[in-house]
Amino acid sequence: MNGGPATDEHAGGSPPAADRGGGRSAAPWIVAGLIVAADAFISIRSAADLDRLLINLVLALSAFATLHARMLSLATAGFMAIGAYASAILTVKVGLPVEAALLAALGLCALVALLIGLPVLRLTDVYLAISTLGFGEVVRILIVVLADLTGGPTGANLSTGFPYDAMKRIGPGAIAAALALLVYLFWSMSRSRTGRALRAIRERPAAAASMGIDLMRYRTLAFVMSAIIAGAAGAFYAHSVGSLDNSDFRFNRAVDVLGYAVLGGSGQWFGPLLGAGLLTALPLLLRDSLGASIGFLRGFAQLPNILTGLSLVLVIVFFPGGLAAVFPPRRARARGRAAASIGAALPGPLPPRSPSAGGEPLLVVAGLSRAFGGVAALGGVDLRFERGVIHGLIGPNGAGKTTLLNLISGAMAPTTGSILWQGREIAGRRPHEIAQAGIARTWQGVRLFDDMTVRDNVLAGHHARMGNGVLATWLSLPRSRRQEQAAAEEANGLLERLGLGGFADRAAGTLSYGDRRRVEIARALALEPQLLLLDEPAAGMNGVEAEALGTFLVELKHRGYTLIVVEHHMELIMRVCDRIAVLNFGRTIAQGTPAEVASSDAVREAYLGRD
Amino acid sequence: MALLDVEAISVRYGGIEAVRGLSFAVEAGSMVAMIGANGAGKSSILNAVSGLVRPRAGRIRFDGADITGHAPEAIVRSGVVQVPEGRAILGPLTVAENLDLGAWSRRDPGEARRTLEEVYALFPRLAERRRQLAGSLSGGEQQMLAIGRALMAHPRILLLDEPSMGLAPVVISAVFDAISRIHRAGTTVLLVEQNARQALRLAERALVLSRGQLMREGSSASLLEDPVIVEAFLGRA
Amino acid sequence: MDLSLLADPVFLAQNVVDGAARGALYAVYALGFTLIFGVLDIINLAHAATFMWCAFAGWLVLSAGLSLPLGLAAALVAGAATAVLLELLAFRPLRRAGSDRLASMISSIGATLIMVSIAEAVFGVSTRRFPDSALDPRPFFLGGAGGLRVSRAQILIVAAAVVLSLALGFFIRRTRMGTALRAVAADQRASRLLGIEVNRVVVVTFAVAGALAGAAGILVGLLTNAISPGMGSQIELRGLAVVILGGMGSIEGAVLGGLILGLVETFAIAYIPGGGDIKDAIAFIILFLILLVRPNGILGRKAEDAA
Repeated sequence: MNGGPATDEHAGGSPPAADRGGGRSAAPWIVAGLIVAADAFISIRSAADLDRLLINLVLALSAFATLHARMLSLATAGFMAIGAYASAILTVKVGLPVEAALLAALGLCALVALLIGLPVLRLTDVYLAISTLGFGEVVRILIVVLADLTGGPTGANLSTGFPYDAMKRIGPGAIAAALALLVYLFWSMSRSRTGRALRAIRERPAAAASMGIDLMRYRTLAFVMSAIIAGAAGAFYAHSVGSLDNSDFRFNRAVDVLGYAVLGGSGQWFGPLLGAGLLTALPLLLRDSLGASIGFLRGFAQLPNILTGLSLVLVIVFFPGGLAAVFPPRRARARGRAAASIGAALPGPLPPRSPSAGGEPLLVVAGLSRAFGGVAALGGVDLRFERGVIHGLIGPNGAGKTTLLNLISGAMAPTTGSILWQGREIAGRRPHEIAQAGIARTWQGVRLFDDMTVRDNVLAGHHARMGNGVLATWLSLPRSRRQEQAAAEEANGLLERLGLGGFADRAAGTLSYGDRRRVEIARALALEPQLLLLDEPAAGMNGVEAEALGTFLVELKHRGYTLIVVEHHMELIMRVCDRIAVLNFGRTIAQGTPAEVASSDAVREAYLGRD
Repeated sequence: MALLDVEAISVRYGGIEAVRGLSFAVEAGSMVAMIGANGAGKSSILNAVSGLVRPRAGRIRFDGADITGHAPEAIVRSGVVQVPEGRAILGPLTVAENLDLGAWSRRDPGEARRTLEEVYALFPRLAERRRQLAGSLSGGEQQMLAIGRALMAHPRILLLDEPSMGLAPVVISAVFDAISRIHRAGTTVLLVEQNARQALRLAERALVLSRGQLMREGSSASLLEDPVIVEAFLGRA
Repeated sequence: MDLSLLADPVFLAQNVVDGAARGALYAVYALGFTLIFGVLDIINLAHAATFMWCAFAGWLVLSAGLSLPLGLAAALVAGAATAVLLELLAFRPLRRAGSDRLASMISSIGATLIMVSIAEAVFGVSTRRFPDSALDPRPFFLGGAGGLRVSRAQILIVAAAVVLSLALGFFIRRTRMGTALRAVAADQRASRLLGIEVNRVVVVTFAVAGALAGAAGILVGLLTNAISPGMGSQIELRGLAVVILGGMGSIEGAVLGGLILGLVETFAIAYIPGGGDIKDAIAFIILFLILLVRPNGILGRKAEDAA
């Protein structure tokens, strides 16, 4: 029913409609800033309070790094502990200057994150969460076991050789500076190729992979970032509080941080900051203001926990996008008129594909089988797909057409058989590798990243062709900026040609079904693929729309693309395809030109039944 | 008054309007076939009748009572039972347990036992395999199980969603044979099929659907010869 | 390490007894947890908080001087009621909205926090003891005063584990409602088409799971004679380890897994120097290893295909 620990399926619905990541105004910035400032005013009585608030804000960003990519990591407390103790030990026992100790501690966190990330990040959502749950506890136990080094269960304090003066090295200014740096890093990342990749993974991992996005790579990046930031928070904690208690890093801490991210919303970087600000200040506010009238509130030590708990449950149930999702998306300014249908606006030429090398077929499928349990969805299919041709793939319900597409695009691995792409074996390769090799696809029932703008969806298709990683983004290297610029221009051009120019800044989920279908095709084209796999592109279209689609597909062919189209819309298939393969019961029952297939008895029988 | 009366329903499926303003009726005691290519909206109609999805417009009446948008459990209790597409049998349970669950909504255990005997008589293969796990049955046996399970609910109308899907031709005949016998015994049947010819041979009346709309309606005999069928599936020549 | 320990058969047997009792406790806890996962695919981390509340419910009844059976009954009822409340407030709205498993897990984490906080507020954070009147604390000595020590609580726990797992197995496999549970676990949509009211089945599932948490709660109170609002966190992680070891959704797996974990922990404390410190880590190490090597556990369901 649902995926087990090793499945990479997107279990359940995509992020809720309220969490519109695209097209925001500057208002949230300002509001967030105001709230945090108000927080500070309300809750801060001393430098220590300020430290605490700032550290919580840093932790919030740690949670954001993973939750934003839909990974529930509960290892925050563990990494915090590693950062805290490592930095404390290096400063006090080894005598390093605090800056060096800090960096070394961060390096250690990164290393540990990589080590446990490699095996653990392959697991699906809940199993990842469970394994990170355990990690925090293991760290805590390690600290107790290595008592000579760490001061053991009593913590790192005066009595265990960690005097306050040696520990206390950081004030709120340093933490605030670090926080500002982190905000900059997240802000710039969100507008970059890396940010888009993470948001794509958040929404639809399978579709992201089919756009050439390496899921493991980005999940590892997110996890390591989260670990480093949590480690930094830990180090700040050690050096601002001046002593450490083992109980500072209990699981509760991870839950609190989760609360920040959930309350504030993990769709945008400022969400968790909002959440942290509120959950830090609110209990104090309630206690002080209402505590005057409601006596028991003043002594109600559990108030912060109850608020966190309530936030988690109420927000997840009633507005899963968190507070950040409450901000309305920027209203799209209509830029140019949106054409009525595909094909009506195809002014300039689409990027031409490279001419065919030799006369060999582009894609050869041999003996391809795929079984689920004992049932063979495909049982030994042999097909050849020539370059520059529109291939139709038809057959009754359950014949195996989508399975075949899935095998070609790498969404599934075959049980047996081979898939030769331009002479190379690609059977069983990962989807992002196949996308990078030049095969793009669309999905049955459109799978867009609904909470990203239309343009960002298309830019996701550009992912594989761009090279600017996150470091290049952060350093704002000119090469990186140029690439972004060029990609944006290309994306705009593609959208214009498909009559979607006016929608570029709209959240993709707000478009009509037909428009979303076109965006999906634009996104696939952005890959500059040699081969385009289309799964029921005409579903739900009426005659006029289907005709326009057909014209567009033929246009694509003339520009040099090769197409494999799975469809039930017979008129479209017969009109547009050069060659058609017919599947039934997981096998090929006919192949040939439309005329041959239409007059084939075997095909008639497959569809209409035997007499 | 027809047993099942569907009036101008529109149903959305995955963002598309799968069915638009469709109306039809099924008389008590009759067998009606609904044929059409994939994507024609046939399953959506059955899902709307069974209450799994609420139609965006229109009404569904069963035996005079409005059942539009009612809970599936209640609709089953009133005698509208569906054999879903792909059979949806409960793999980890045995054949006998699957059948037993079919009678979940019935009140009289004695009657349920009698129906069980009838089902085993109709499908002797199921009787042989009653302790086997349903997931280990062949496709044809699973289809028979699905039908038998639906019969256990003592349906007043039986909705079948593509019973021939994925089955070998020989098995299809056996399944259709059973459906025919069920109908002759008095159950009203609405048969949704992609396998048009066999469905037309079985049913008296047929509805031809294309892209969510009713293209043609009439007696099966007349439709068998009608080129519209070929057109609906394979497009205009 | 004192090598003579290895040669001492009584010491070995004692550890087997202690380990089996500990393992039986874990098994009872895991039964309820694995039931909810098996039927609904939900990881209910609030199971531990339910367990804790039931321990206190039992404690209240027993402290009032009432008998053990009544205390047990109170724990079971409290468990069922709490779990059903959780389902109605924290899980059903998510199911209605079609949310994913992460959302349910997060919701259960939030519920845990609320429940633990309320318990702390009402009972304070300190540890309570079950009154001696509840269960005779004098242990049995097999083979004379220096021999094997078995406490009544240990006997009760092992018996409870056996009885409860058999009863649960019987319920799931031989009753109509149990079959309906299995139907919902296999295919919710098909179940609805059979006329099964999935929501009702879910409530029954939670009630049974909650009662099992209640049993575990009061049993742990009898065994360790120490309950506190924070007791859930220790067993929660062990419960996860047991269920993953034995396979999510498997009753036999929960029992087997529980026994294994209980024995391994006890033997670690007994035979490994410093074992007392690391015993908490054992569960997590097992968890890690299983997730990495055999994610579906020893007896769990077959793994789905990885994309």
